[in-house]
Amino acid sequence: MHRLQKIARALGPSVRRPDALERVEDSVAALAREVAAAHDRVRSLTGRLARARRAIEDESVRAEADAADRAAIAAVPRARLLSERIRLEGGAARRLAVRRHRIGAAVERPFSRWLGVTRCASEDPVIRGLWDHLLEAEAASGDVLRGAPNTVLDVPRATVSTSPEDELLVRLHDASPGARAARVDAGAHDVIAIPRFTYDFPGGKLGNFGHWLVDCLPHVLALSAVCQDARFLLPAPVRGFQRRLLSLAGLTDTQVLAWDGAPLDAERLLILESDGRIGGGRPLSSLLQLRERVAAPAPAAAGHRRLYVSRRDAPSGRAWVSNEDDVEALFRSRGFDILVMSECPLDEQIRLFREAHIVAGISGAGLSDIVFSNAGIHVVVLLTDSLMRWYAKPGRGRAKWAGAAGTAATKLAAFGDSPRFYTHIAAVCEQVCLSFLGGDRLPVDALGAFLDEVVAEATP
Amino acid sequence: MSWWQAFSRPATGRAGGEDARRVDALRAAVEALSALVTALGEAVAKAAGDLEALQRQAGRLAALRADDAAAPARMRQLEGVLDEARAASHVGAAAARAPLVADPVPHLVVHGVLPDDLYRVVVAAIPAPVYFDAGGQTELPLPLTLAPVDVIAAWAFVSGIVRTAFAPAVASRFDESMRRRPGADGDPGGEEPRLLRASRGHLAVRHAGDAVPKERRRSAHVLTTVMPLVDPDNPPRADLLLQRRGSEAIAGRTTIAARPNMAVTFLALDGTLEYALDATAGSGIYTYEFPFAPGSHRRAQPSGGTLP
Repeated sequence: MHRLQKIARALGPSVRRPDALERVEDSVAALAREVAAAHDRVRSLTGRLARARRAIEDESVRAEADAADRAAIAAVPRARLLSERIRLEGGAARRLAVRRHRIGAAVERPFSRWLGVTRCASEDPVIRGLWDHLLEAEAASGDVLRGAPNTVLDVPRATVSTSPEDELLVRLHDASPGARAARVDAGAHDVIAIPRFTYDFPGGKLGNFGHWLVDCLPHVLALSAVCQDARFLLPAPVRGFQRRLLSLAGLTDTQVLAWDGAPLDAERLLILESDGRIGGGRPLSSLLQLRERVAAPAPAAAGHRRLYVSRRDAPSGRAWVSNEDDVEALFRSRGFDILVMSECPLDEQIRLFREAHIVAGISGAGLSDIVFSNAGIHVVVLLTDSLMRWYAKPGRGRAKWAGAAGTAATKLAAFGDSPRFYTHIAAVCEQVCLSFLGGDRLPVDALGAFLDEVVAEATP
Repeated sequence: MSWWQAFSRPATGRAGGEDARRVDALRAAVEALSALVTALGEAVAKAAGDLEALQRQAGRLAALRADDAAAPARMRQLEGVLDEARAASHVGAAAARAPLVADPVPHLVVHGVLPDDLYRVVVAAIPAPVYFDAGGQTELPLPLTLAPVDVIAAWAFVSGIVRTAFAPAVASRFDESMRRRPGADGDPGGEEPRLLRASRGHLAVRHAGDAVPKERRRSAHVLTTVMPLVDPDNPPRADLLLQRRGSEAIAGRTTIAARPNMAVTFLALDGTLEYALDATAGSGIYTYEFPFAPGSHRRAQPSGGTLP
């Protein structure tokens, strides 16, 4: 008979037998304790099972990704890679030895919450139309900036070179000990790392500090995460400012090899395959890694400095503003320090940007140092008519935004290749970005009023 | 009177008062206990379900690790067989020479659809049962994810050939059938042929009575192709019943013997295909099925990494 039924039966006459009632109470209490204990044990077991299930699901996800990667790399007749500029030569079985690492995390950043005031003071109707078109197209492309992790191909025993078709040609070698000995005797390097900008990057941008900082240096960081002691093949010549930035990433001079594309043997080759851009723009995952590893903004204490980055030292035809002296005077009058980048060593730039709570400047390489600034600062991007025309010049990748209006199919990140270049970087860095567009002779009165609004908003 | 009814009666008699209160308290305690036992049962059932799922996932991972060791040798074998140009030429020619039959619904039976050696590779590349979700599902969508590397690679190759060579050759054979078909609003004018694209499809385990597309819902796809994956040396006895859907009942039927290395493509807007298997098919047969739907032929771009 069920224990509860026994209890119930016993309760029938219990009202006339107080001692029996007490026994029943004790039995019920004991049973309740047993059942509660059993319930706790089962709940604990369920919790452990749920944790085990989550762990195995995570392992399954990793195994799936690994299997998919290996199948793509070993695909017949040729590897299916995330870069069309890499040609991996070797049989499918040999290509099984190649691994793909994912470095960094996927990025999803809200965008519009980091947008501050945007003011258009240009008197040119064409420029005003372009600006309105840009903002509308950007708004139609969603409100989340997305980036994927970097991927690095880890290739054992290979020779790398550049092909006449400008591809990165990777020839896998025999894995036998005899073949390895021969390669070592011939001077094969241990670990060689090849950033994507070495084999797939517009040459003109390599000399630009801003592109090097936000587009190229992150490749180096991603590769360093796989092997810190690798030797890096970089496009020749390697310039002074590039070496200084590389030292920020922890690279020594001996790790940097200027490379002309001639065949090079390596025991292990690390190739940055994809920097995770989705539709274009900046490599967002890498940018965040850059902030974490290199920028390390000063915690807690709010910056106190107001910085204006002058274009006084810009090359001819790239100044964008014709009344720089007036603009500098305006900013100086509002308590801004005027910074001329060419006159400021990199370490000093980093210190100043870390101390800043407002950074302003014409959209250009000088603003790229905002990656060293704290989250929450205000970034004022100045644009002019000639800068807009430069961005909108047909036939260039940076002019795509000036074409068809944005649609749901146009990724928001693609607008990183537009006059919104620094707005996107600021959003990823969680900095409020405000924009002012004026003629090449920036209207000082209107700009001054705008600046006063910005300072009032930014000053606690 | 049931024991619960007897128990539930309020205490009466000269032992009312304190005893009655105690009995009521006991009654409440037992009710609470009953609820706790029920909760315990539910927790045990959930734990059992979690354990089963855990065992399935662990089984898949263990199988993957075991299969991994043979991957290099299998990839070397695949390289000798997976020849894009040869396969594309073969499937295109096979689709072109297959006769188009109008009844009961327009359909194409393509024999020798793949080169023999490629068909054998495909049958050998059917994922082991552990990779199919044992939780009631009998389909594995392509591209395969959790499966041995050589299996993923083989099916990636085959589905690529299907989409680039087989599908265009087959779809064009149905242009006239589409034109003759009454339009959606009943106009006799018929539909203009639409650009049809084969989806990646799925691998499935089919049992007697299974239908493709599912009988109850009208297909959203224009065409469907079914390719039984049976042992070429010892094929089971299986038939494919191609049926025309009427407004209330089946309006026509034909029987197609399922043979190794064949593909049946039919107008899914008007018909269904049912599997008729006998005991030789054991617990079912594997098939490769892919629908065709209107679409563009945009090439997929690799994601990420394209610098401005």
